[in-house]
Amino acid sequence: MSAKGSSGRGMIVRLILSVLLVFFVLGTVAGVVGTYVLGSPSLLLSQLEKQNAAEKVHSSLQTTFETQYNTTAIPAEVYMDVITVDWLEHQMAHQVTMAYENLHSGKLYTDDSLLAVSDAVEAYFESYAEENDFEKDETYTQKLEEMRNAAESTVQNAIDVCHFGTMEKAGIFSKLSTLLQLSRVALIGCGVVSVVLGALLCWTRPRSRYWLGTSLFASGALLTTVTAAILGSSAIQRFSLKDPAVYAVFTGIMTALTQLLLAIGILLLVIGFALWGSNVFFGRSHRKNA
Amino acid sequence: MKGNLKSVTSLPLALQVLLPILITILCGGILLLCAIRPYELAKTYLRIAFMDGSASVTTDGTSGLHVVEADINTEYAGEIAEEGKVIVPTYGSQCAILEAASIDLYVPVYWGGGSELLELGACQTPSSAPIGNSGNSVISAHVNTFFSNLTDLTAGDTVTLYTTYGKFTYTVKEPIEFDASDESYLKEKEDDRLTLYTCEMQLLGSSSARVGVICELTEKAFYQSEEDAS
Repeated sequence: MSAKGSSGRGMIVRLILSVLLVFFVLGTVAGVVGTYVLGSPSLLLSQLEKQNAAEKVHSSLQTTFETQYNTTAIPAEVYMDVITVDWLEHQMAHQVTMAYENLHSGKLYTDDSLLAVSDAVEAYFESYAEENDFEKDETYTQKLEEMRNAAESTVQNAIDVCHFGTMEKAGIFSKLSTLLQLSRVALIGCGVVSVVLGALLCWTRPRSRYWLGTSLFASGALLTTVTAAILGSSAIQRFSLKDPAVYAVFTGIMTALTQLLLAIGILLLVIGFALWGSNVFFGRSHRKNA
Repeated sequence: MKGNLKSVTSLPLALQVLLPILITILCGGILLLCAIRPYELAKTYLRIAFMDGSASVTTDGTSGLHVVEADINTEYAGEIAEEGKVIVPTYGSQCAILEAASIDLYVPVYWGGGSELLELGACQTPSSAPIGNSGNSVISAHVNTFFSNLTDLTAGDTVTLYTTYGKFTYTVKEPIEFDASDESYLKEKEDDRLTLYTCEMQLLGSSSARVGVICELTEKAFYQSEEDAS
């Protein structure tokens, strides 16, 4: 009777540990993904390239400056001779890398990388003034300053497809650093606990892979179901973002992350099923033979 | 020993098969409940970060509204005074940064209104008292973005407005609720106060009710050193 009682209690303990292991495994996965996204710019940089973000931004800026010609009287070529696709690619990659390097400070660092654009505007103004014998008075200086700032601002907003600038103004950018630290803690903390719980479930008597397999199966099933539903329903593509470059990069990043989680989910599901199945079917036949 | 070796394989096969599924459903339910708040937070932040996809901050004259960003220093450490000069902003320009640490609120404030400015941050009603002047300064924002947790402010919480010319500290006095047609809370007042409000969040459709807080001014700190002010 007491042996049955202790066996029953043992099974309940394993059930509880198994449920806990599900959460810690998912916590570890969250830590992995968070650290991967926030710890290194590689995902964003690869998506910028994959989505041809530079070409989309180039096209958008071309249209913007052509439209502005009617009010600014500055031909689009003044800007676009400087703003090539290669230049945009370099600027976008540079800004993303700088944003990640400054993540810990919560402040975006800006440098003079857009000076080429304002220099192009200044050169146009100077040649215009020279051709038309226009005196470089206060009006000239004021107008030049306005157009230089406007040009830099327009290009900066177009290049910032990840909206780091908006995030900084709204106080969100500083939160990303906190999120990165939490991800690292989750990765290490939940990872260690997962290993300990898994070892407890596997190697304490009676030794069985059933509960470990169950936990991994449950974790995998939850991840796979959610991510498959997101991908299958095209929920990501339904985000309404006006700018084509921003839309492409944002949905590209979200899709890549969802696919990563789906792959992890399937892996956990397969391993869990294998452990669980081997215990249920081979364990039973072993017991029958014994 | 035999009792100790009794493991899960002694359970009926149907139960052994069902247990993983039951555990999955149990964990899924718990995760769903726990994920509601983080999901709402993430949705709010994503909306804030990406809602102004086509906002322009140029003064190129192509649009009727000139949105001008201001470089506001929130860490001014120079000389301050209780009296000073208030700079009245132009329509569409950023006039302040609003901070309420108790609800993790940090948002730029623009002078004016309309959908374009409301996508960028909070908006101060131009007919209200400029920040630092006597009277009622009125600031509003969308409930599904910047002011999503405005109603979490409680009496005694500190609200700070940083401008290019000074820092103004307020203490939340009381929550308010009024109909959109009722302008009594938005009108000029004799005391120095800050009124923050937004739409009441409703599950279906928009609400005509407005919710917010009234804050009383507790400290004025006009910057004396122009170099450090921005």
